[in-house]
Formats: sequence, C-alpha cells, structure tokens
Amino acid sequence: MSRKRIIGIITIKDGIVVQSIGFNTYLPIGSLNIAIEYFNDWELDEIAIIDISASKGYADSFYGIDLKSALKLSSIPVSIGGGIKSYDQAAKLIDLGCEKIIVNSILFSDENFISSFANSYGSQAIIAAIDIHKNSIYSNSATNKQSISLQNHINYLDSLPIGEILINSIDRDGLKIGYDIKLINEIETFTSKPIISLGGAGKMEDFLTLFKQTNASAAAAGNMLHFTEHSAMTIKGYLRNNKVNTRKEITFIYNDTKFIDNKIYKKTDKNEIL
Amino acid sequence: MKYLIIDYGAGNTTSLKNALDQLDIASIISNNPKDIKNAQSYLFAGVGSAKHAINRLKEYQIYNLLQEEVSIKKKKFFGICLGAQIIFSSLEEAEDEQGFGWLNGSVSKLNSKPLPHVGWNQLEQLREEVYFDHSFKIECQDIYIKDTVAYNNIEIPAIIQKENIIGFQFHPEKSGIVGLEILKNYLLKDVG
Repeated sequence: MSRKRIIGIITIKDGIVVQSIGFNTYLPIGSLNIAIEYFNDWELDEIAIIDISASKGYADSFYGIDLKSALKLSSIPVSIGGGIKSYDQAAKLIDLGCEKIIVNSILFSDENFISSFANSYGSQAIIAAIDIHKNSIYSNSATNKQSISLQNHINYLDSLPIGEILINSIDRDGLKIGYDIKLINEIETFTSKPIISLGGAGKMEDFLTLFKQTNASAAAAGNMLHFTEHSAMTIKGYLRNNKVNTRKEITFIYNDTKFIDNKIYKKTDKNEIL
Repeated sequence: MKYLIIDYGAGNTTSLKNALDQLDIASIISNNPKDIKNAQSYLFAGVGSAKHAINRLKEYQIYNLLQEEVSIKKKKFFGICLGAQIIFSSLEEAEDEQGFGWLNGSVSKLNSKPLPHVGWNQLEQLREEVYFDHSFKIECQDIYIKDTVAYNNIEIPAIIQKENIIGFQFHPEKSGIVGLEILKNYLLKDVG
C-alpha cells in the first residue's frame, strides 16, 4: 500500500526562501539550494516550491534565482507553483527540472488551461491548490475572495483532469496549532482525489492526528521542517511507531550507532537497543 | 552518444537527465533522427500523456525510426511511467493511437480509488520503496513482470522486461538514492 507522505514546502519571495505566517508576515530563511539539499537529506518524501512574489506577474523574481541548478539537487519529486498564468510558463517549469505544477488562481480565470496541460503532461502532473480563510476560498495570494462555495469548487476540481488537491489553511499558516481536521474531513466527502493538507503543523502529534482522523494522502509543512534537522525523520519514526505507514529510506549512522524509528541501536551483529 | 533521452515535447526529461548526471552517465535529450540513429540506448521519461506523446513522435518523424532501432536493431529501451506503458500497443489513454507494441499486453485505467496511485510504495521483490504517480496499469504475461507493487489489494506490474526492452511503472529518477541504484543497475547491466 502506498505510504503517507510528508511534503516539505519551500516558500520563495523575491528570490529567497522565507517563512510565512498568516500570509502576511515573512521572515527570511535562506537559499533555495540549501533548502532543497536539506529536505533531501532529512528524508522528506516530496518538495513543493511556491513562489509568492508572483501575484505581480509571474517569474522574474523566480527565475532570478538559479532554479534550474537548484532543481538538480533533488532526487525526490518536486512540484512548483505560484502565479502560473499560462501553459508555456507551466511547461517551462517542468523543463527546468520538476515533476508537477501547482495552480490556484488560473483555475478561476482560464478554464482551458487544465485540459490543455493535462493533454500533454498527464493529469497527474497537476496539483490544484485551494487557499482557505475563514471558510472562504481565496486566489491570487489570498487577495481575491472567490464567491464559489467550497463544495461547488471541490466538486468542480474533482471533475477536472488533475492529480491531487492541496488544501491550504491560511488561518493556521505558521501558528502551529495543528491541521484543520474538520475542513479536510468535509472536503473528503466532495472528492476522491488524493488530498494534501497544509497549514498549522507544529509538532509530531499534528501529523498523527491528520493521518488517523482523515484520509489525507500527504501532510505538507513549511516552517517547522526548515528549522529542525532530521525533523521529518523524527516525525516519520513517530508515525510508524503509531502504526501509520511512512517511507523509510535510510537509517542515520553516527559513529557506531544506528538511529531507526527514534530508537538508537548499537551497531553490532545483534543490533542491541541502547 | 550512448544514452539518448527522447524529447517528445513533454515529460520530465530534465529531471531524468539530472539523475543520469548524478550517476555520471552521459546522456543527451533529443528528437533529432540523426541523434537517434547514433544512440545506443534510449530512455523515455514519464510525466506525459500517451496520445500526445505518440502524436509528437510521429510529427518529429521518429516513431517508425524508434520501432526499427529498438525492435529490429535491438537497441536498449528504458521506459519510465508513460514510457513503460508506451511499450504496449493497446493504450486506453491514447484513444485511437497505438503504442509501440514491443510486448503483448495492454494498458488500462486502474480500477481503484483514490487515483492517481501517488506516493511511495514498496516493490514486492526488491523490497525497496519507490515513487509512483500514475492512473493506468500495465497488463502483460507474468514472464515479463520482474517486480510488482500492491495498491488497494491490486497487484500492479512495476518492472517489466523483455530482452532489450525495460519498463518502470515508478520513477527511479525521483525515488531517492534507492531509485538511482535501481536505475544504474538496469542501465549498466548487460541484457545480452
């Protein structure tokens, strides 16, 4: 059976990686290259890069950083989004070295985009993202409130040739109060597409709650995964210990001890627990 | 040039080339007939759609050429995701277009939810977790199925091989170190 995923979010504003809180406060984290390297080394399952400068017009700020060379550093899948306005822009992103695009605003402005992109790259290459604030749907970096109801919008997305739906709770962004379980449960009744939950993760237990109380396919987090070395590994060990299936690629080895599922083993023939 | 990644106007060809670069295996991305004739092995990246890919191959006038180079001249072909599916002629996704037909079998929609089958899943034989992202499933004779994966109690062919033709339903180029190892082993192995 496929494993539950931990997706690392890298938010880029004006060319640098930032930490976002509530979609209006941004603190700098650093370079894209380092963020991608760390997410690979720390055993995340996927990376999503979101450019939030883009509402002004896609990509000058984005391509200003050397995205093509940064993408060479990832051997896990990468999705990219943020203000994608055309098929050509989306195709260009895949060509720079990623696997999926993330779209939001264009879903409201161009009803042909999805089918034309899916016709070339396959529906699995598209993640539709929804930003939710106080139970309303927003687009264009949370500046544009949409009048469509959540149910109608999800039903619409469910009918489109897309791969996954990313639910982003603006209200919980950066607050570390846990994912919006009620919201995910509600959305699950409107779609059978895989759901990625984003917004609110602050501790290991938040991931367990998400996977125990919803059918979400993936838990996405930005802020909390950037600052703690091995945090994804720790989260996944914790999840496995609580019977949630996650990927386990490598065990970390320091000196002659091994670190597996949050237990430390002495590297002997019998693998004794210390 | 030894390894050629086929440029069919879509696909995560750059990602695939990046993976080969990591493995120190030289490659080019091209759809030029001359390059195709000179290459010794072909890679067909995923992240594409069957009908569109086949149309483009015909547009670039390399569909028949590839048929010849692979099935007659026996050059090696490594297909990933869509690339594995296009090995078969009967493709539900491609409507009126046909795949290469190098193996008997077909590709039809996975009868399960949620779709796509996306994420990390464990290969039954190799016991390694690799990355999948697909909604269609290969059906072919057991003898060509080298490894499988289980999704909602459905057994899905994950690695298929017939002599010089190899297909991966998952993305070895995006499955971490484990994926790169699998890719390297197949690319460098003598198939005889």
